[in-house]
This record gives sequence, C-alpha cells and structure tokens, in this order.
Amino acid sequence: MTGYFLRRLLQVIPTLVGITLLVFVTVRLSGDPIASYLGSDAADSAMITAEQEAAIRAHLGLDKPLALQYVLFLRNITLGDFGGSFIYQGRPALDLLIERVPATARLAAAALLVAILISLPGGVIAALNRNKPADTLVNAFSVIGDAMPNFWLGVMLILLFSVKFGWLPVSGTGSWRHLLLPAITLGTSMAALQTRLMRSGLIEVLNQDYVRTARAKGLSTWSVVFKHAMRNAALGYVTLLGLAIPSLLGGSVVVERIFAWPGVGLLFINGLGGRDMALIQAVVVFSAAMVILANLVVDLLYTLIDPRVRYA
Amino acid sequence: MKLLRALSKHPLAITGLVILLGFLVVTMLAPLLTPHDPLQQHLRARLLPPFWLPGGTLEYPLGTDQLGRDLLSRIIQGSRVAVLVAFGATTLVILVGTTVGLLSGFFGGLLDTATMRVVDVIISVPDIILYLTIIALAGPSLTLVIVVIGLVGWTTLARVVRSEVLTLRRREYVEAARALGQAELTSAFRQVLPNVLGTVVAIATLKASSVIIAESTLSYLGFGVQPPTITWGQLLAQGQQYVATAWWLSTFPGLAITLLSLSLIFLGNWLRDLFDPRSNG
Repeated sequence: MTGYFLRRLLQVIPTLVGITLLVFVTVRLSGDPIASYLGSDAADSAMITAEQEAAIRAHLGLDKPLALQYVLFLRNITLGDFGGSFIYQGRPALDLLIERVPATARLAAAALLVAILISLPGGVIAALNRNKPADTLVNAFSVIGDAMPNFWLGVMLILLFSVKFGWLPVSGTGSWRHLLLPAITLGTSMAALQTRLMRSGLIEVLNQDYVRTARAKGLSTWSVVFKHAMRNAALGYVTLLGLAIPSLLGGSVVVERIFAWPGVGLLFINGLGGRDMALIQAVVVFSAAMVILANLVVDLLYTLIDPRVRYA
Repeated sequence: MKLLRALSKHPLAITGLVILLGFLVVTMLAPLLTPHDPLQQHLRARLLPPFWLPGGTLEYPLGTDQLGRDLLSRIIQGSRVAVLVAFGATTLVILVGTTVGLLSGFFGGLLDTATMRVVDVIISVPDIILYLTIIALAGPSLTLVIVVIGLVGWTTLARVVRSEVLTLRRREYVEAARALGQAELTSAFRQVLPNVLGTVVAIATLKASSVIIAESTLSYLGFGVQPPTITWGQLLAQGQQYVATAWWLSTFPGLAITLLSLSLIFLGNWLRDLFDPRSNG
C-alpha cells in the first residue's frame, strides 16, 4: 500500500515539471513579455528609452539565456514566488490567487452538489428504465446539456430568474441567493456527462449475478439498488468526481465572468486582459496542480474502496 | 449506399445531418441570404423585437440590436467563423491525433512513453485555460484560434486510436504483411490505419461539436476572433448587456450555437454506435 502510494507520488513529478515547461514555453513563445507589458502600439514603445527597457528586462531577468530563465522560474515557483502582478501594483501573484481561492471553492462545491443532485437520481432512473421513455428523456436532457454552451445557459437563467421573475440577483456575491445561479450554471454543465456515466456504471452492476440473487430473494428494487448495486457503482462515481475537477476549474473561468463572481477565474480573465504574466502563470500552474492532486486522491480512494486495484 | 441505408433507420442522425447541411448552406451563401448588411446601423430601428411581438416587423425578422443592426443577418454572418473554426480545428485534431495515436500504439517503446507523458501534461491544464493563455498573450486572430484549439484538442483522439492500434497490430493480416517484407511504417499506414478510420470519424464529429462550444466561449470572453468580424460568442456577450430589455439579442445567438453543436452530437453518436457496437448502452 505504502509502496503503491510512493510510486504514484513519484509519477506526479515529471508531469509537474512538464507543466512548468509548458507554461514557460507558452508564455515566452506567445510574444515578447516586455512588448506585452507595454503594449505593442508604436506610441507606447516611444514612451521609454532603450536604457529603460534594458533596465526592465534586467529587473525581470529577461536578459539571461532562456535555459537559465527556466531554471530560475522553476526555483522561484517551487518557493511559491510567481513574481509581482503588473495590474495589481506589483503585489505577489500567489497572494492574489490565494485570496480568491475561497470564492471559487464555494462556487465549485455548490456546483458539484448541483451536479450530484441531478446526475445521481437521473442516472438511477435511466438505468432502471433502460430503453424506456424515462431513459430516453434523461438521455435527451444530457445530450442537450452537452450541446448547450454554459455561458448561454447562464444568461438564460438570468433572463428567467432575475429579469422575468426578479427572484435572484444578476451578479455579485453576498448571500446564498447570489450563489444559486452560478452554481446551477456550472453544475448542470457537468451533470450531463456524470448522468451518462452513472447510468452505464449502474447498468453494468445490475447485470451482475449477486444483484440477480438479491432480486431473486425478493428484495425491493429500492434496496437492491441502494444496498447492493450502488456500493459497487460507487467506484465509478469516485472517478467521476475526480474528472469533475478540470471542468469545474475551466468552467469557473466562464461562469465567474458571466456573474461577476470574484474568484480565481475572474482574476485570470483580468490577468489576461492586462497581459499580466505573473498572474497568468500562477493561475495555470495552480489549476494544473489541482487537477493532478485530484487524480492522485481519486487513485488513492480507489485503493481504499477496492482492494483489487492495489495488486493490479 | 450502405451508409445511407443505415442512416435511414436513425431519425436523430437524419435530423442532425439535415441541421448540419442547413448550416453549411447558410454559411456558404451567407452574403446572398442576409436580409441586411450585418454591419449596417439603422438608428431609427434600434432594439426592435422579433416580428411576432408588438413593435416587431418582418423587415427585421429576429429583431435588431442597440444600433439597429439586423440580428438575423448578424447570426447568419457569424455562422461563418463557427463553421470555419470547427472545420479547421477538427482537421488539425484528426491529423495530429491519428498520427500520434497510430505511431505511438504501433511502435510502442520510448516513443509511446514520451507521447503519453506529453498527453498527461496537456490534459492536466483545463482546455479553456490553455486556449485563453496562448491567445491572450499572442493576440487573437482567426488562424490562431483554429491552430490553438486544434493543437490542444488532439489528446482524446490520440489515446483512443492508440488503444485500438495496440490490439490491431497483433492481428494476423498485419503480421502477414510484415512477414511478406512490408516495412513497419508502411504496414502501420496501409494495414492498421484503415481499420481505425471509422472510430476517428466518429470521435472527430463529436470533437467538432466541442470545438464550436470552445470557439464561441473564447469569443464570449472577448478572446476569440475580433470585431468587425462577427462571431456568435460576441453577439451573446453584447446581448447580455441588454438582457433586461432585449431578450432576443442573447437568446437567438445561443440557440444557433446549441443547434449546430447538437447536430454534430446526433451524427457523432450515431457514427460511434455504427463503428463500435459495444458502445451501444
């Protein structure tokens, strides 16, 4: 068990290094950071002298060879130093990021709850009524959920619940009422895939011999599903929640913009608008680290829930 | 012909095909079909509702925006970017994903390990965050949107192709071809590739639908193809500012995105079931 854990932990290192390399290369290839910083207009470039530009380059370490820049970048981010943010008066990018994490975590948790509340009953109903009208209906909802961009869903929810009925606020934070529309928007975008996976996972389990035995004993459908089948379908469901992390992080960028929700996603959009390298790098590395962490946790939960995995 | 007969039994796939063809025709004939110049402002006809509502007129069937520009014409014009990006990026996904998956699965070894590590890295960063980073820093353009979505999105296809190739390369006809002296690379492309093409087409069709969503999301956030070129995402973002007074401005562009992406999902699901009977749940 400990051996498996350590092996799995070591596998994370090359991926993490790869991500820092990807971020470094992307940011450097996508244009001269100084030009990005100052703006590419001719008027702007005339605003500073060559000496001043050289001074800024030296200050940011951009005068050093690329390989050395990367090593320094790697060293700094290991120490938690992503550099100062251009658009937030040089405040450390990591501090800005950490300040915003609670808001995004609240949104993500609420969205996950919405996704579970939809996909769990949806998947069970579809699996128990396989190829019947109820299954078709659930399937139709999940296909439409896939086809619909979540920013449109968000705006349509605003149209309905804020504008037409006046029940919920259009944007901002403060109360649970502010959280409702963003959470539904983000949650439903994940629910489609989760419902389908829940359905197929449960169908597979329902065909097993022990479920047939439980049914033959005369147990009710309810207790067959929730006492016998669910426990084994749980394995797939745990994976689902791990899979949800990337879509929660990516989706929160869009949803936070729609509803002006002050989390990491909105910070990222602001950073992009201001071509704020430090902030952008911090958010990308943070997101990737969260995804890798989630995958690691899922793998470990797997070994706890299902002993067979340990020996695989 | 066989394909058409198979299609005729699946109403959803036919619906998908009809909607898709409809969009393609509209896209190609856009300049002829738009009732007005999509950029022409009619300041006397600002924020007109769709024709069936009081105040609406058939001259502007879906209504007008805050500058009196015809919404239907703008949506028709916007379909060009959506279709172009979907086509371009999906083509890139097919080329890169199939090649990487095929070579990685067929040759295995160090090449396989290296490419799968690269895939691990790419899938660790949420797609939209990667798109936005590259596009915002390099400056948005149509070409860049296509290239970035294409070069980030090939990982799923590569993995599926790789796993199929892993079983296919041990088949007798592949071994026979090699025994007859066919070079390894030739047999990868001649013997194995044709057998994964069905899967490739199915996955690519589904991918095209997520490309449509990705492109419109970038545009919505302001990092897609820039004005004066019209995109559906831009229309929706502009429409959101008038959500309290002019619901049609945000409703119809979103409906267009959903319909086009839905048509590709219908077709893709059918193709997937066709080429892989096991996936039929």
